[in-house]
Amino acid sequence: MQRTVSSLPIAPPVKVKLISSGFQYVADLCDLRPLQLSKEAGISQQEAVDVLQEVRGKRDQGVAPGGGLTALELFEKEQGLGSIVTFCSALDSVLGGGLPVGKTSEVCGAPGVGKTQLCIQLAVDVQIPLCFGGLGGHAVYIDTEGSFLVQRVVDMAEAAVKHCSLLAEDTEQREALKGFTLETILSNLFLFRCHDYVELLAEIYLLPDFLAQHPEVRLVVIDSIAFPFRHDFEDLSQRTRLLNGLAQQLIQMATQHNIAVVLTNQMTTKVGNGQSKLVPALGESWGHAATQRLILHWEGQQRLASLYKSPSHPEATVPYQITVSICNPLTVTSGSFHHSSIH
Amino acid sequence: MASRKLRRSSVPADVCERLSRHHIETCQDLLSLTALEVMCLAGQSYAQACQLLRLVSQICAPKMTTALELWKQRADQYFPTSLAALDHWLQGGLACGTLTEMTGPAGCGKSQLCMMLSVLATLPRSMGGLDGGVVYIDTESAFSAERLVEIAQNRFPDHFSDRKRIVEMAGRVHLFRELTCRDVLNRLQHLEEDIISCQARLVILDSMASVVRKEFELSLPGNLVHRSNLLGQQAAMLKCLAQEFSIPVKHCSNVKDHLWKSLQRFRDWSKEYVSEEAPGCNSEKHVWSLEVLLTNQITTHLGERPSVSSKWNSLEGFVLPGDGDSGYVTAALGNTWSHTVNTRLILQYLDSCQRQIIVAKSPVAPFAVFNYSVQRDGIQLEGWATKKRSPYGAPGPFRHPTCSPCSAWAGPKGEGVVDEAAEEGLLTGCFSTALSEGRTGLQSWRRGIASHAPWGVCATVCVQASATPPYPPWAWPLTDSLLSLPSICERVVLIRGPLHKQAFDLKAEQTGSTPNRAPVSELFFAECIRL
Repeated sequence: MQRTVSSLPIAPPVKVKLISSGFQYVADLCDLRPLQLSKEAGISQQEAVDVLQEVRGKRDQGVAPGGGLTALELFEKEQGLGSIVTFCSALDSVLGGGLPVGKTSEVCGAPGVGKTQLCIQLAVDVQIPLCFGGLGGHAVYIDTEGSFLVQRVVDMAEAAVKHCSLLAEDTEQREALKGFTLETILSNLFLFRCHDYVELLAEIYLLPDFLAQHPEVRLVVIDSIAFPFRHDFEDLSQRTRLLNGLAQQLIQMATQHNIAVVLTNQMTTKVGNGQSKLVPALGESWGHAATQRLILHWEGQQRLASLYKSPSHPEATVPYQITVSICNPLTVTSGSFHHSSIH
Repeated sequence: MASRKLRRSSVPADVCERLSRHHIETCQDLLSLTALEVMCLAGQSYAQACQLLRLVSQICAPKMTTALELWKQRADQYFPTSLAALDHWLQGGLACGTLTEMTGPAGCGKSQLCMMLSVLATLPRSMGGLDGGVVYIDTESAFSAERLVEIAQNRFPDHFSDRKRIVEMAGRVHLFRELTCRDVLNRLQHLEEDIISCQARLVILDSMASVVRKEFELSLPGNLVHRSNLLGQQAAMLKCLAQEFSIPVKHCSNVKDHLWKSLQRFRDWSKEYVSEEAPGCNSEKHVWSLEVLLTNQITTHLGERPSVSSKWNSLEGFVLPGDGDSGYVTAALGNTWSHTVNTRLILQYLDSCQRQIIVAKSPVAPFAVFNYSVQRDGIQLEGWATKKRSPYGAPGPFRHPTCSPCSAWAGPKGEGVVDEAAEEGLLTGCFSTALSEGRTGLQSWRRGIASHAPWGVCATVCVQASATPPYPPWAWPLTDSLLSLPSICERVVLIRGPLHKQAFDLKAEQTGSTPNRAPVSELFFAECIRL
């Protein structure tokens, strides 16, 4: 199978010139020298050098740029990656130990149900040292709504530190605890405040460089991705294109840098056939963007979390609560979530 | 900055030239394109296009800060409202840099609260103020300068005894009367200049909903999107300003309250109009109304039938919670707006003289209810005893997960006792009914409950039970309206007496499962009666 010149990622004017000079396939370009190419195609010498580097680079790389992985290698890699606990045992069990690293997860819910709280909790939990079962990583928090309040982080951080200090048994854990204080937690939480979608897109473009400079980062939270895209867009197809591009970049970052990406989405109503139901915002195509989807909703006066989409775990719904520091589950009896069933 | 011209950034001139031929002038235009599009339009290779995007991103991207830095600046983060209990609950007051919304029915006191906060904002820091100006955007002509002065003089009589100080305070409050949406939008667009020139520390918008709902007749299909866009733009603008200047922005909206009968109207209309506003799922089971949607207001008149929640069935997606069985009031302007505001306070009438303020949505505080009244010196909270202990105890047997039980109880004496009894979760935000026979002092209990129970969730009924003790669970009261009570109540308390003064907790479930009987402490009852 031969690769055509028109599929190369070179500048369009150069491409046009190459094709009009008769170079159809990459194989035609392989053995040429730059001066020869520039004379034949009518392009400048620098452009010729670029084209040849591109072509040769592709050949040397082999079949797939990323290399091939066997499923066994992937399995071992995933086992080693770990997950981020949420301190809500029911939720953790539904997610299979916590939020998976290396994948994108989406959290949807109505206003006031606790999405931001969950995100802040994860940002604190990712920093728990390895010997306590955490990841010992840093967190990046991209806030588009302005709902990030430091006081809440302080509450949760203090509770996490207290929780860990109660658990510390051996010297290794006690050592680790010295590096796990309120100040370190706060200083390892990197915050970006984006006011509109342009800033958000700009930040996502720059994020790979940031992650390369800070290899300790294990979590990126975008809260929320819906807010900047829900108004101000007349051209919905442009919005879809931008969102898709964003999703791809995030997935790439998640796999390359081994981070967990958490996106927060809002809910919107769909009215039809005389009923209305709440569906996640940003449209149908956005549903494909995240690998996992968690939907938080109310049932009566109980908050529930449903794992709606996941490649590895079954769908399940669990109750949760928001307390001062950690999310507590309520005991569930025989499939009924109504709290009156508890004595 | 997004609107920065590409020419002023370090993008090479020839690339700028090529892009401007396709009308791509600003950073925003460039970043709205994908890399492939940039490749085609700028005539560059893929790697170069990515590089260009990264370059432009560096101009537009926000600066990084850490949570630690934010925490260190936190002295400036809250605006105390001078309502001590509310401030304590909100961990300091209204958060600066975020949007706070106050909603409530007409005449509840929103404008009064706004005026009181305007006075507070002009006070020096030593007195708990922000020492700055106030930008007051008034769409309903509810602002009254005389009232402002009256509040100031009565609330801080020492400080404002000097006439000069009053003049200075009044001079710091800048009033803008805007009567149409377009005017409001213009005002917001120029708000930055106003804020800087007035040295404002507080921006009050009273109220958004009135102009929006006046102008956007929701029966016209295009208007909903247009209106949402408008609201969205304003929200974003306000938030951006709030962040930049780190000032609290307050916003009051009206609430339309309809009777539950308009549920039918809504169902008819919803077939024709695509509505974006959702019955949002909040802790108080809201159903909202906008011209098309419905708001129920809970009252203690038990003659109303709860509306059928079973009509909402879903084939996919999530069912909206059953409305009407505890119709709660909520704010106008829809679901998207609910997502937008960071803190929501709901003002509500409890009965003809009592009013309540509810913390409905807040990133730092749980749901709570406070009683207040409007006095000469502004708003005063009443009957509130600040509970020092954490509102989130371990879940008890009857404890409502989202309500904080004891905090609503202000025992005039024997507070500890009331706490203990309330530990058993007697009246913790659930819909409770008390059936009693004879004279058990229920009247005073009811008065006590009504003033202290969490908002709108307690109905007490005094009924002469016909059966003799011990009361079987099926001895429900006979009147028609009350027959429906068990289905809408989560807990039913049966009070025996007068001799025994014991209350039994009977679960009221439609399935008629075995009720639990837990005698509530007698002492609690005795205290209640004294309330």
